Amino acid sequence: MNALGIEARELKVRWRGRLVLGPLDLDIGAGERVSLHGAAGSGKSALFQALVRRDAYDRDLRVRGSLRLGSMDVLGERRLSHLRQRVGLVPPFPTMLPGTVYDNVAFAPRMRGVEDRGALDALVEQALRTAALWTQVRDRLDAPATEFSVGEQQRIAMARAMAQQPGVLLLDQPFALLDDATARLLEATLYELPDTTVVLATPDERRASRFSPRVIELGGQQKVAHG
Amino acid sequence: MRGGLAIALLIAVTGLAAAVPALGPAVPWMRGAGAVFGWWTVAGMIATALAMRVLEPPRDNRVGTLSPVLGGVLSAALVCWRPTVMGAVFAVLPLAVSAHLRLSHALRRALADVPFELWEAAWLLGATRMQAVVHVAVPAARNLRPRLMRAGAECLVGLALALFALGWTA
Repeated sequence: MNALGIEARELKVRWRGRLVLGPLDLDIGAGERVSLHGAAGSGKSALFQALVRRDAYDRDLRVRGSLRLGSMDVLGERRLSHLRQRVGLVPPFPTMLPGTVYDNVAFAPRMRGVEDRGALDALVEQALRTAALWTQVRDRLDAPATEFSVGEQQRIAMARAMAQQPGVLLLDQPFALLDDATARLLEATLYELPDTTVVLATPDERRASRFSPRVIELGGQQKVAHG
Repeated sequence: MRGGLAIALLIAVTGLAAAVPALGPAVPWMRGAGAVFGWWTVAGMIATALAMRVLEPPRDNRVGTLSPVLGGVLSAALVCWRPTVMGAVFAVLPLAVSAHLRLSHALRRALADVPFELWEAAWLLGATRMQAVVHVAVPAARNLRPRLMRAGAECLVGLALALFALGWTA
C-alpha cells in the first residue's frame, strides 16, 4: 500500500521565533481524505511545510515535537529527497521548472530513476488526465511550461505532484487561481485519487466541507485539532 | 571587465608567440629573441594580472576568486625558479588550484542567480541537491555560459603563461 498516515504529537512550528502552529496533536489515517480549515495564519501551510521539512533549507522555520508519516520519523529523517518523494505538495502559486510540460510532469519519476519512455508517457498522461488538462495539452506536451496561463500552470503543478505517486498529497489552497467549475471538477477527481492520502488546506469553509466529510479546524493555539 | 580580459588575452597571445621560438631548438637566434621577448612578456603579464586584481576586485573577498592568470604567473615563476621535472610538477599546482577555484566560483555565482523558487520546486519533487543542479539550475542559469567562458579564458591565459615558462626553460 502506497498511502501513508500522518501522526503529529506536540507539534510546534515557529517562523522567525513566532509560534505559527501548535502545540498540535493530529491523526490522519492512510488513504483518508481530509480538509484542513482555518483562517489565514492559522497554521495550515506551516503543517505542510513541516511535513516536507522546509526547515532544512529555511533557517527561519523551526519545527519541534513528533511528526510521523507512516513509519517514517519526518523530523529525524536524514534522506530528505527520499521523504519528499513520498509527499506531494501543491502550493497556492505554481512554479514551473525549465523545460516543457512533459519535462515538468515527468520530473519526479525521472528523479526516482524511471527512464522507460513508455512508462513515463503513461504516468504523464494519467497525471494530466487527473488534473483535467490532458485534452488541452496533449498536442502541446513539448511546449515550454511557462507559455501556459497561470491557471493551466497550476494544473500542470498538480499533475506534476500526482506523477510523483506520493503516499500523501498536500493541497495548499490549490484552487485560488482556477475558476469555480474547474475547481469543483478537480475536487471530485482528487477525492477519488487511489491509494493516496489527500489533505486539502483551505480558508473556505464550504469548500472544506464539500471536499471531505472530515474537516479539521486549525486556529489559535490548540492542543488537539478537531475534526 | 572586458578591457582587462582583452589586455590579458592580448598579452597571452604575445606570450605564446614568444614561446614558439623558445620551444623551437633549431634556430638559436630565435631562441635568443624568444628569451628576451619572453622576459618582457612575463613582466607584462605579472603587471596585467596585478592590475586586474586591483582594478577589478572580486565582489567578495573569498580565496575562490584567485585569478588563474595570477596562478599562471606563479606557475611560470616556479618553473623558472626550479627548471626541473619535480619543479614543473609543483609548478602546476598554483595554476590548477586557481583554475579550479575560478571555475567553481563562476559556477556558484551563476547558480546563485537561479530563483530560489526553482530550487525549492525541484527539492519538493524529491530531487537531490545534485539532481537539482543538473536538471533545474543549470538549464535555468542564463548567465552560466558567459561566466564560464570568461573563467575559461582566464584559465587559458594562465595556462599559456605556464607553458611559455616551461618552453623557455626547456
